[in-house]
Amino acid sequence: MNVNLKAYKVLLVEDFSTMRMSIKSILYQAGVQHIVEAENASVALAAMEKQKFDIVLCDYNLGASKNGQQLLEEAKYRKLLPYTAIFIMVTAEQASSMVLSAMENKPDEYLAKPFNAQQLFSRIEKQILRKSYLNDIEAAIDKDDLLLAIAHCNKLLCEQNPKTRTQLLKIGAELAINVGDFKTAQQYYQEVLSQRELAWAKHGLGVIAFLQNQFDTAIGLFKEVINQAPMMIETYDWLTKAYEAVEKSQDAQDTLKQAVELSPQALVRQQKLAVLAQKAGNLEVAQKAYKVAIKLGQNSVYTSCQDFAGLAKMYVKTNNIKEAFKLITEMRGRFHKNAEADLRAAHLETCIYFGQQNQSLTDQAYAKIKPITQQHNDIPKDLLLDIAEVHFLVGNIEASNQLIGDLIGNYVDDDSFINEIVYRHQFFSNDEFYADELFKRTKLELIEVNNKGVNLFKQGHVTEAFELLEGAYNKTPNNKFILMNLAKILLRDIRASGLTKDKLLKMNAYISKAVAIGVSQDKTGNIKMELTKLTALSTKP
Amino acid sequence: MKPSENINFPAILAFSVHEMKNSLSSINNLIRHLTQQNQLNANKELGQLEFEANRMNNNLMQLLILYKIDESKFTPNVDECFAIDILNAVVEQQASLFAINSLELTIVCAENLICYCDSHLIINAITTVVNNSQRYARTKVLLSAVAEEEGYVRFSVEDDGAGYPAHFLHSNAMDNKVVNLSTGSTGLGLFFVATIAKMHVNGDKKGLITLNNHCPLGGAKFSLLLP
Repeated sequence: MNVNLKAYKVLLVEDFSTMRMSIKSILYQAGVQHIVEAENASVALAAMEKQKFDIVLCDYNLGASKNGQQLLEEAKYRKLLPYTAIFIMVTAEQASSMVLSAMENKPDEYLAKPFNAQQLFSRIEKQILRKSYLNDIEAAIDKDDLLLAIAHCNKLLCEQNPKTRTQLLKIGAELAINVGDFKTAQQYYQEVLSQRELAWAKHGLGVIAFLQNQFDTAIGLFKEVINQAPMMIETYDWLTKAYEAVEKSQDAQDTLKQAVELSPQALVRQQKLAVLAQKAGNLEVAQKAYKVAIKLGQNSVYTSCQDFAGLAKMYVKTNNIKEAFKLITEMRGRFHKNAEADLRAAHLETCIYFGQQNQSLTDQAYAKIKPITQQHNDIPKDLLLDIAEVHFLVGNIEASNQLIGDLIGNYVDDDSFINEIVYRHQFFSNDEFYADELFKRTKLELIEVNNKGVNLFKQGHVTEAFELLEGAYNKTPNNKFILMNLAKILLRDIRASGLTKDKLLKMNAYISKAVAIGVSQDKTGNIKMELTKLTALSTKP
Repeated sequence: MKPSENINFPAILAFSVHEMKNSLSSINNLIRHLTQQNQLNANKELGQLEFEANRMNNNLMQLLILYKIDESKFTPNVDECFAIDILNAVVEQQASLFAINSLELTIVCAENLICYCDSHLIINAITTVVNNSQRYARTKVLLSAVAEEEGYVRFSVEDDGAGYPAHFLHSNAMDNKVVNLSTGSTGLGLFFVATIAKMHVNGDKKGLITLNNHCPLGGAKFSLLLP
């Protein structure tokens, strides 16, 4: 071992005290002086809150509560792991490790038990060298400066080191995708594929096709990947998305089901399966997935009150009121002082009491809805649609129409959600045309506003153009189309007349909003990159 | 209802393996301590102990992977690897045992030799062979990797022992005849390695293993060829 570990802070997470002792003695032997021990995930997380560790050595099995994977997810989610830290997952069997996790939450290394000192040190050494080799790139990514990261990656690629070339092409391609530079990404993946048909490179080509709306090509590529490497779990997620995009909902559901069977521990996938199956009317699959999601959610940062409400809704539909109430109580317990959970509970109770024709309890439950919707502007769209239905149910047609109008305005370019709104509205209002006509009208208005804004801008009336689109944005803040055009106009304005602090603040707010409402990463990345260029220009003397 | 209908065998298997691996970790740790205390004495018994612990570990791992292959739940996760990294990983696992047994373990491999494989699986497979080889080697074992024709990479484990017995050389490791449970000479390890080799595919080429006694060191030569 050439690296001196004396200055490294190590967190050792292992529930079995004899194992802890034995690993500790191995670490001391290597010259490590600073070791903190944790017997479970919550002790480990508390330690990580207090200080930043350089190395986390974590057993996958940690007894009854959170496992190592859930610990890693939470640490990343809460930003308790610096990008320089090395996370090594200790597993009983090597073979299962690759299906444990999704792409974004992979540990740096897996180490199978039993291991000796030499095996441990060489893994640590390998990771220290890797991290220091890639440090400039990872530091830039950590600061969200993708342009700089790409520059560093290109610099390393120019060194033509055969030992690192493939690794750099992979990183470079992912970065290029994130700034919308599909041509470079494609070139990198193809260079890898010219050497060997590696599944991840083909998967990358599929992602590029998907992001360019070439869904059939993407589906073909993803299917090839799965055929060649059935353990590539993230490919199933993308294939599901691609099937959804071409509205093949049964294929989407089947694909996701396969992924869930391969990796039943992944909560987010179970949640998605529950929603997809419920929408498709496949109640048995949905119910099972909800139950698993609720169970897994106990130990995960990705837990959601939607899992409880979704299952409760199914119980309400089958008139199993007792179970529905039980879930509402559980949901309130798990999500204390959480507006979304309160709103979901109020919605469910209103539905239940209304069904029981209990006027006073219906009124009581319904009265809780309005204040929450007024105070919070981050309520999920599926819940708002439920609320619109409930407004209608209790006879508050005006509120229902208002909300349907807002939803259509905000999601006018989200075809699948618009279809859902129209379908649901037809169902609960018995009015076949209202929502569909409103949608068509809204779409026309939107195009008009947008064209007007763009024309004003072209004629040099920058302020007017901006004000017009900003007005539209304030009315429908979740409309991706308006938001992205507003951002583009501001960007051009900055290019033409220079950057001010005010404009930079606005620009950053738009970018965060775009990320929050799910504008694809390549589009926000592209704008980020442009902005970085302009910022760099303006700071030059 | 049969009582076994309540038994979730895959879960029990996974759980048992986890428990046994913890035990093996403790055993290995104890061996390490004892070896340190015993520095001056010959550690034949400790060497034997560590050898057996390694064998148990290899058998567990094989059991689990073969079970999954049988259930069609397993495919190799192929990526670009460097042969030298694979051989180094094998040596890291085996070095202390070779030291205790006073055997020499050498690597011959070009620094930039690329092979495409599931590195964890291949490391496990070669480790199994190397661990067995010290039963038969007299003084040394040679580990090597070279590029072959048609894009194959040949990993070899050679020793200076008595060589493979005739019935090994004449049987095909891929048919189950080698796994002869009645004679006690099971060859399960070789069956496992051959199964793993065959799962590595490139176009119409498949991985394979070869066994012979044409070895410059005078003993057995095992080769794993990956396409």
